[in-house]
Amino acid sequence: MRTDWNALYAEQAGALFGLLVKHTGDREVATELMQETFVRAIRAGAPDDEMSTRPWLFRIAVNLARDHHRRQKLLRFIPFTGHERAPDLGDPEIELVHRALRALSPKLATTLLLHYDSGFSRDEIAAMQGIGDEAVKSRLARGRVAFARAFTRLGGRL
Amino acid sequence: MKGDEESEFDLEESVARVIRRPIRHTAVPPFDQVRRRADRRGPTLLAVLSAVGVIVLALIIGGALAERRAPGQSTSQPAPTASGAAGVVPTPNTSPAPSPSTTAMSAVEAAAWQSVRATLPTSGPVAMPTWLPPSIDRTAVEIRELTKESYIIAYRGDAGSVLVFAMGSRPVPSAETDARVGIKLVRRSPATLSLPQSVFDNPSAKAVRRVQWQEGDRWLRIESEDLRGDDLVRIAWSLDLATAPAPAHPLSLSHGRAGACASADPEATLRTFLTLAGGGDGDATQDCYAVELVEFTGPALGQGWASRPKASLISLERRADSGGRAQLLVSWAFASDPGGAWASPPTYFFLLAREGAVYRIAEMGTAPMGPYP
Repeated sequence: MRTDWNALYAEQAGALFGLLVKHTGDREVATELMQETFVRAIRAGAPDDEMSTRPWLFRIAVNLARDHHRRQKLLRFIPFTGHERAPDLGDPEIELVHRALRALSPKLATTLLLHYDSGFSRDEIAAMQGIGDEAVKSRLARGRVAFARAFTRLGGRL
Repeated sequence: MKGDEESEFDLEESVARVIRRPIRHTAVPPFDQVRRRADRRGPTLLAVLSAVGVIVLALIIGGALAERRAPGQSTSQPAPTASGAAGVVPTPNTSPAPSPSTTAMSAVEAAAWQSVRATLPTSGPVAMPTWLPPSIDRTAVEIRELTKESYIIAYRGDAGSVLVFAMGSRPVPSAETDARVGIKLVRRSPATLSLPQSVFDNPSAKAVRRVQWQEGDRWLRIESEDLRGDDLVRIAWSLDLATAPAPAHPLSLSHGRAGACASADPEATLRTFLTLAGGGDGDATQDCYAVELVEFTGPALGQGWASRPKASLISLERRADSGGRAQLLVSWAFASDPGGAWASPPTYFFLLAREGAVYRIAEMGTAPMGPYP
């Protein structure tokens, strides 16, 4: 199957960008990671099964976001990088969502985003993350409670 | 019960609504931009062939030098061979310079790691030591567990001490009361050193110290009840890199400004680092930083320092080494207000790693780093 990357980009870039903004809390970083997602996808070649292309793209994106967070953890100790600016999301509500997600473990935050923001089913998330359906269910349940606590503690109203 | 279900349903509705909030201004760059990035060509065939040539030449010269260095070495010790293939002992592939306190790999040890390599899939991470403290007996090596998914290799040492190298699919949890110290990069991955509280009161206490990190979906660890945390960190920082994850931002200092900052003397590296502040030459500044750090964080590392105001040294003091790395406490003054949250005067601890013949900045912080009990 020959992938129409242009069409796929038109369909999915916005949704990927949205997920990455909430994940990273930085529009510039989200733009960069969204582009990098497609760069890697194009170089690797899409899966043969058209149905699995979208989960595959999102899996690349959340892996890139995870790597970004790991690097950020390290960068916090290095004050000479030129990365010291505070990211500005330009949207206090989304900023709050991001901050509440950051209070969760990366696994819970990613699972919540994939399910509620990107609309993936539990089965799809299980396949993307290489875990069982029950584990996804459990992550969603724990994630909801933890997110609600963090969100209200930060001043948000559910 | 019904109430609980309703409440759970309400919570799910609320959380879903909040997380689904749309992002404003979702304009994304045109696809052409992404396509151009994806099509950007990698290294030319000529460059690849040149690199292969250089590696082959280095191996030939390295082999000749090794023979010259150890003319009387026993022939019973297996010769290092290429890594990766099953049944072959991985060639130590690491940048730290040899240490005078290290000990040579024994045939028993080589055989143990050969078994690990042969049992694991080719992609399985094998983290083999290149440096061990003299108190560890490199002929007393035991395979405690070995499957396609995991391994545990134990070394014995003085007074019954034990040192363990292990790999598995899950991390080993630390006790809640353990102190956890980020020790930055081990085989290009962030790692944690966990230290039981008892060792801070009594560094000789018999208690498990552990360095642990993740590579792909595998967790690796080095642990001991007997060795100090600082020894474990040094072992971790000198592990063989043959099966380590690929660098996120591959860097060849040969095409940058190698020699612009790094020096054989750690203090000289730091002095040059300060003179480069405000010089606008990010490539030169980058040469001050350890390659592993640049390859992990990306080429922006050092660019910020090059655009700071000029800096002048106030004091530079050598502190206790940590994990085999040189530690310096440095204080300086900026020629003008640098903005941001800099202390006045800025004072930092720097840890410098030896890479080949030179020292580069591997870590910095406002508190001393190690030595760990």
